[in-house]
Amino acid sequence: MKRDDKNKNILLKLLLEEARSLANFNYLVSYTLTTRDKQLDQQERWRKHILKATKEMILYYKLEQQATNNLIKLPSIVASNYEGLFLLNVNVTTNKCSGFIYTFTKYKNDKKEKKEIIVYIYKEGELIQTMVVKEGSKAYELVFEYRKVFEKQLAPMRERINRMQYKLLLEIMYLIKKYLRQ
Amino acid sequence: MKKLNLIANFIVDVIQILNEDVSQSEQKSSKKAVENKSEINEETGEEDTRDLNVISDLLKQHEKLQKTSEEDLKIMNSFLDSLVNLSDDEA
Repeated sequence: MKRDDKNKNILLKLLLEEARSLANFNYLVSYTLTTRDKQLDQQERWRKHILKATKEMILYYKLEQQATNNLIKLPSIVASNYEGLFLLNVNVTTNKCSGFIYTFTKYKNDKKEKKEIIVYIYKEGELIQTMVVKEGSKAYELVFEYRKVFEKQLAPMRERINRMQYKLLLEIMYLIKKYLRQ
Repeated sequence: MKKLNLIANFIVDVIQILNEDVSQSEQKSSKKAVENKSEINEETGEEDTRDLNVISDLLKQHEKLQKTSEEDLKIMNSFLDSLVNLSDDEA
């Protein structure tokens, strides 16, 4: 039986909405001064790959201009030994990140002397607070406990989820192309 | 720690979500897909039904993944808020 135009349009609209929503990815990224550029390149390559895979959806919603201008930004600070841990949310038209950067304030030769870190907290790309945290404090413990969970559990799990999401996105795009051809 | 327990609970929830058999949740089909399905089914043939089943399944899987994404953001914000509060307390 031949599908009529009305039904085809309803299905296409549903699929395109889904594709747009599925093209919204979260990434848990960690980087240092020396790996930040590499991380940015990697995220940009992935973003362009998603844009290419969802070309039909981008054209349908007329998002080409916004998609082209949506360059990924990851905060940095002037310090040689910092580490950044961020949740980066990238959709077709915008990207924003929340997380923190920390660095040791000075190298302590004396092992008895407590270490100290300075933490820069960002929400949606904006620096909201800077704080100095001393070794032995609850905040210090929290930073390093979170870092451990982030690297060992949260980030690998996010990668696994993103792979599943990407697979779903490709299936939706396959159906979109199929209905557009008919 | 309270926040780390929250993270641990989230990890357990996500693992359950990821391991859940899709067939067990067949009956709780996505509202969106069902609405569209009923609208379309009147005049469509077998191919449409097949596609709709595929779409319904994809929507359900998407819903599950979306929950984990929202949780990720919640955990990060909760951690950042805790850090800010601890800094105020210890100041």
